[in-house]
Amino acid sequence: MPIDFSKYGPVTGFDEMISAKGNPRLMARQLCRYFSGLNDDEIEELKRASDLAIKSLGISFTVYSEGSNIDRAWPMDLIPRVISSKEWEVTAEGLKQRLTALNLFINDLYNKQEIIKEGIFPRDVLAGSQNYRPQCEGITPPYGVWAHICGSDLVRDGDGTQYVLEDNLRVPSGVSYMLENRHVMKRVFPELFEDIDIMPVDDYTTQLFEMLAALSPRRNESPEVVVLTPGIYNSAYFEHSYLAQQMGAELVQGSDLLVDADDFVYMKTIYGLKRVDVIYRRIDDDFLDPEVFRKDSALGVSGLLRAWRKGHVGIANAPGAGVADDKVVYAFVPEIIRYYLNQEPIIPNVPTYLCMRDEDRDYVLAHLDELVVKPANESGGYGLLLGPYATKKQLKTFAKLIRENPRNYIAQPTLNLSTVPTLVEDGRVAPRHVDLRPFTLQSKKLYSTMGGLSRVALPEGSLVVNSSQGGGSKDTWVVDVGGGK
Amino acid sequence: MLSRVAENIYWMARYLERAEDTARLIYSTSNLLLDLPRNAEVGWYELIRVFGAETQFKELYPEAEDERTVLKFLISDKANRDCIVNCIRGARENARVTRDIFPFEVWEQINELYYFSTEHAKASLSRRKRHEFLYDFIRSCQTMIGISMGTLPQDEAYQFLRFGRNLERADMSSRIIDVAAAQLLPEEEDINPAFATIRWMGVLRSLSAFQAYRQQGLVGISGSAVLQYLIQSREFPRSMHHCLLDVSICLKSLEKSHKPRRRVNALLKEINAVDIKSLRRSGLHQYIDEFQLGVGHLHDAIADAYFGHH
Repeated sequence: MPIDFSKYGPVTGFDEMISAKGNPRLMARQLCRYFSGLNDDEIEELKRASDLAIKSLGISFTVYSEGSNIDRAWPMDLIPRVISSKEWEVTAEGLKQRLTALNLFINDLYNKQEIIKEGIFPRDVLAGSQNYRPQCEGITPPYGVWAHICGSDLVRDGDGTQYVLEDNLRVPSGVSYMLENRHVMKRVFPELFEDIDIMPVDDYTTQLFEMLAALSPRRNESPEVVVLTPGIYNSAYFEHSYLAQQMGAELVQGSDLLVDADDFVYMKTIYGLKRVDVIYRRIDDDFLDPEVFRKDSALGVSGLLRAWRKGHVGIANAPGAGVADDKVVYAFVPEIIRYYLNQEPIIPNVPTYLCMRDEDRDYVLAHLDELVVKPANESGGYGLLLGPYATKKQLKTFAKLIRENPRNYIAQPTLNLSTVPTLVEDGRVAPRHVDLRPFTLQSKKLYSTMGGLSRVALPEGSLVVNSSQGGGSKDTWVVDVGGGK
Repeated sequence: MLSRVAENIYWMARYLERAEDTARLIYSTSNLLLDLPRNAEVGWYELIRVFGAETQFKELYPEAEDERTVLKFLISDKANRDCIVNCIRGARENARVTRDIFPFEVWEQINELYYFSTEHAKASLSRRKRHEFLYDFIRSCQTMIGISMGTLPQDEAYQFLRFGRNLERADMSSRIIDVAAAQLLPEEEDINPAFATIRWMGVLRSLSAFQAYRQQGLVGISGSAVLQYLIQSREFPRSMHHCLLDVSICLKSLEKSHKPRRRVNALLKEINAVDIKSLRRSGLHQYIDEFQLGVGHLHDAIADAYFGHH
């Protein structure tokens, strides 16, 4: 039975590609026509081709199960998610605006703290921040930029409004899957790429390398850039090696590096020590340098912070950048944008209640069963309360947690995430909830990916998009439909 | 190049070669046994001797010497660290930690090899499927070498790949030769074991050397001529001599190589000096023992110079 988009649904909120009347939106029209023209055998064949490509390209992610880690083939849905280039232009501007403001904010926090002195950002919030690193005070890194790579999470609510849900400024991952999804799609659907104006995503690694190279303390030579990974047991190892390879940078582990008596960073090569200029680290602050952060870290490099403070090495993202990756700080981002840039935010925040404010806390406690409650410093969906789905006992526990430590909690309305047509069992196409993670870069200049990584929640009705919990992904097409439509 | 990466590449190549040579040995033994009468007293257990795995095998299977147990041990037995499936897994793990170094095609091929061997290894225990599995497997290993030679820049990474391959190959060739000689070389002047010719042909085939040997134009197949070819040939890529020659060429293109070079030159000198025609069974065995020890020392010298274990 061929795919019939007129029988698609039920869509409970906003669908990215099919309008409320059941017609494909303009930028998705060609794609939907193509899929409607396929019979079951052809779809089955395309699925096989895509699975084979994923397997032979070795695109995998790691899940931990009963103490051992298993390499699983990456789950990708055949039907891409389509965004119109006109909409994307605005979104990309919004992402760049946001990252620019966040970097001005971080640099201010570690230096003059004017935003606090002017009463815009409360000192208490900073005092309660787990990711503020006093060891970084007084430093201004090159270009004043701390967060060089930002992976924002964008979502759309039932009425179609797009929001920034999170700013991931520590070690955001997923960009390699964005690139590999495209790679697979080009293998499987070459004809679609000939017929539709799909914006390329391939230049990300070139842009990343340029951004990193601009952080080198040595100006006139070709800089030695390395990617610092915790190793193959990290769930994002695939990405670390992928990015190193694509950039032609060395992929190093902590044990491959040392900081010598001269406070420069070196790597251990077959011919002896070689100086390192820029480190793209994929290790959390905590594990970066056992000399100043966690003493028991075997993943980091002793003395790294010393070398960085002296300007002997560039580190991306800079140590301490995570201070702005905090859900309480998140609530202040619109104010931060206004304060530093004197502009209105292009992409809005999800309305957020700060439990540290008496008024907000009263509201949250009274409406707990309608809201999503999040701890301030966790990432990856840990320690979350989904009010509408929670048991009485869970609600009670969270009410207690919030009263005990209000600084640590925020609450947001439960969003009815937008959906996309997704291939489900027995060859049917059904709406599944989706989010989007674009990546934004900043050092000497600003850059944003074309689209990003779309993650879908595969079980019907599910809102959980994480790949470790049954989430899948989609290639994301920014399509130019021409004529500025 | 990072020391750790050089070491990973080296081991990846060694594991791959070990897997391929094991497959070759099983393949040629299967063919040979088909040609021999049932009472020829040549059995599958000989393969356990080739790998020097008698102790481990006896511990695992005290009663068994049969075809199925031996083959399972060599192909897919989780308890055997050096079985084909484990070698490919080891090669893949080493490739995974150096994934950024290799052209994408190399990783793709090793990944396919891994899935192919884990999916088909069990089925290969049946005689009917075995031939096909081994044939495809050996071809895939050769494809892997071809792809890496054709796509990898011939810089340091390439040299460490060649080190690994040639050291392992030299060692495996010497093992195959050692066991063959133990069975086939007469201890006394004139007593030739049964079916000696056809079995020497089997030895040549296990190293893909039969045709090359023939092309030298020698009349007949004699034990000492086969041994001489497999040990001393300068041309044949799986001879002990050729493997080490390749190592010495690699070393010339690296800095800091004087210590391993001294080692490899001494080994080459010994290979050239040994008078194979005059060696009897025990003499050859002793020589090969020393050779394997020498290869071990060569490994140590390379590790000292480049892998940074001090």
